[in-house]
Amino acid sequence: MTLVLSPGAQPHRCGIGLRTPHMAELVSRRPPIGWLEVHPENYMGAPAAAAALERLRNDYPLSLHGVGLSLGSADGIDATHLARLKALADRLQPCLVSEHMSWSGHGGAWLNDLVPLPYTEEALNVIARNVDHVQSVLGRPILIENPSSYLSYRASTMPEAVFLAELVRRTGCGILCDVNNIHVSAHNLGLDAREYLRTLPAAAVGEIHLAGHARNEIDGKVMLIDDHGSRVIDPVWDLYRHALDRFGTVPAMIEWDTALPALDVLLDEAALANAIMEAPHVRAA
Amino acid sequence: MSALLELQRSFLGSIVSGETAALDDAIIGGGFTAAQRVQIYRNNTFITLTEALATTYPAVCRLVDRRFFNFAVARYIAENLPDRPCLFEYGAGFAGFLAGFAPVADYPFLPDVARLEWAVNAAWNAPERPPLSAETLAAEATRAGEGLRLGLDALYLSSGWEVDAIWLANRGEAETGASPAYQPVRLEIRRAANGISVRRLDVATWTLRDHLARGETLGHAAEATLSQAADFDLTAALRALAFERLPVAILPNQGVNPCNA
Repeated sequence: MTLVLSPGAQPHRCGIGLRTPHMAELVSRRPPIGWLEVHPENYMGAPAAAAALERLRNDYPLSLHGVGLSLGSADGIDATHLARLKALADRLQPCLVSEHMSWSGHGGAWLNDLVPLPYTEEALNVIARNVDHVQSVLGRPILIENPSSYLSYRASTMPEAVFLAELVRRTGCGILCDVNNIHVSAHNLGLDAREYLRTLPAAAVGEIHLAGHARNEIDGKVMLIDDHGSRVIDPVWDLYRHALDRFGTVPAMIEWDTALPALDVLLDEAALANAIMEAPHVRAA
Repeated sequence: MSALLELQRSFLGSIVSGETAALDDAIIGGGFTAAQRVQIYRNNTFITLTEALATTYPAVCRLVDRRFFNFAVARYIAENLPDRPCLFEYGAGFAGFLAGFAPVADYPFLPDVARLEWAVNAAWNAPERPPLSAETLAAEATRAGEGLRLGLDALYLSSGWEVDAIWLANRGEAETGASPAYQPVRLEIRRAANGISVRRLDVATWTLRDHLARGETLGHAAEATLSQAADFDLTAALRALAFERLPVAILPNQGVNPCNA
């Protein structure tokens, strides 16, 4: 499967996650960012917000990164939410649409958090069926992001990266490889981050996420929390280099959601990602 | 029942209750207890939903102060997880919750402030619908007569307290010193060019529009209005509706005016 960015996309430049407090400055400055990514859920209500995004869409390639589909829900996909996502995607014509390999809702109740699945054959069947349905309704392949995890289940019968690779094989979806999530999960669950990268099917990776995380101490032991509230740390930049070596120059994106700094800080992080992407050790895609 | 369905049901129950015993055998410890690992998801959920409610209800939050607000919404969240994935749709029942929440009994106006803030949120997030043309409106009024039902681009709320003044005084950071006054107000809330308009209406105008906004027929709405204001002028009221570009839809199932049948 080939994941094609829309005309005008600049896959060799890093993008940033667009958050509302930066919107006005971005509109007035129009900095040279490769592309923008937003959570579609933030644009499913107020018409003014979607209209502002539509205007920005003329100047920047746009990616819709969903957090509300709950692809791993055993009771299926919320039809209303999927219809809203389709309407937004039809209107904004994003270069990429992505979601998470996780679940958030069950029986009409929503946690608004991304909870990992047990990596079992049953869960694989459920999420593959849901991804198939979403791709069919949207009329396009989507990227699936590996979650950041604080727990794993005894019931799992395969590693997470194998589960994700099998999801790709069954549905034709792509992968949004969040290297910070891999670092966080590897620490919290005792996994090998580089082995994780080696297991993913390189041709399916269509995007890389970069972000900061927090360190929480619980009874003297450290749990990493994926709060998107600080700069990317060096071990995650190292993992990013490994990811580029393995996957080539796929589009990267800086995520920042909590303790949002000035726009220039995000642009600075994106410039760092660009410098690494353009370094001579990275092989061509 | 499938193992995944059972796991997701148990997990949701643990997030709500904080009791994780049902998950102890399902989760690998690896240096932490299952409870410690599940607690991170519980914290994430409560922090996200608390922030969402603070965004939707800034005046309520300021009136009771942030620490008490966090305490109250923790109770609300545990009893009312979102039923939709979008956060702007979360919190519709918060005013009703506050009305029955004993610790805020000394703030009798608080549920109505919450109702106003929810109306503001709903108006801001409502889909954009173009107003009906004067010609369409006139034609439909002739065709359906008293059976006409209109969709209006506004929300209507009444309170025994000056909740609009309380809301205005408490939604920003500035100190205003305004104190709640017990005086009935009838409000119309709608999206305006630069935000949200909250304005007071007289009894007759508010009663007619409130009844229409509830989906009642023009005949029923006019009857209810006349019972409040004997000198009510329906023709002028309809002209005002059209002038203010409030009607945005002709609602279905309207009866046909027998005079025009």
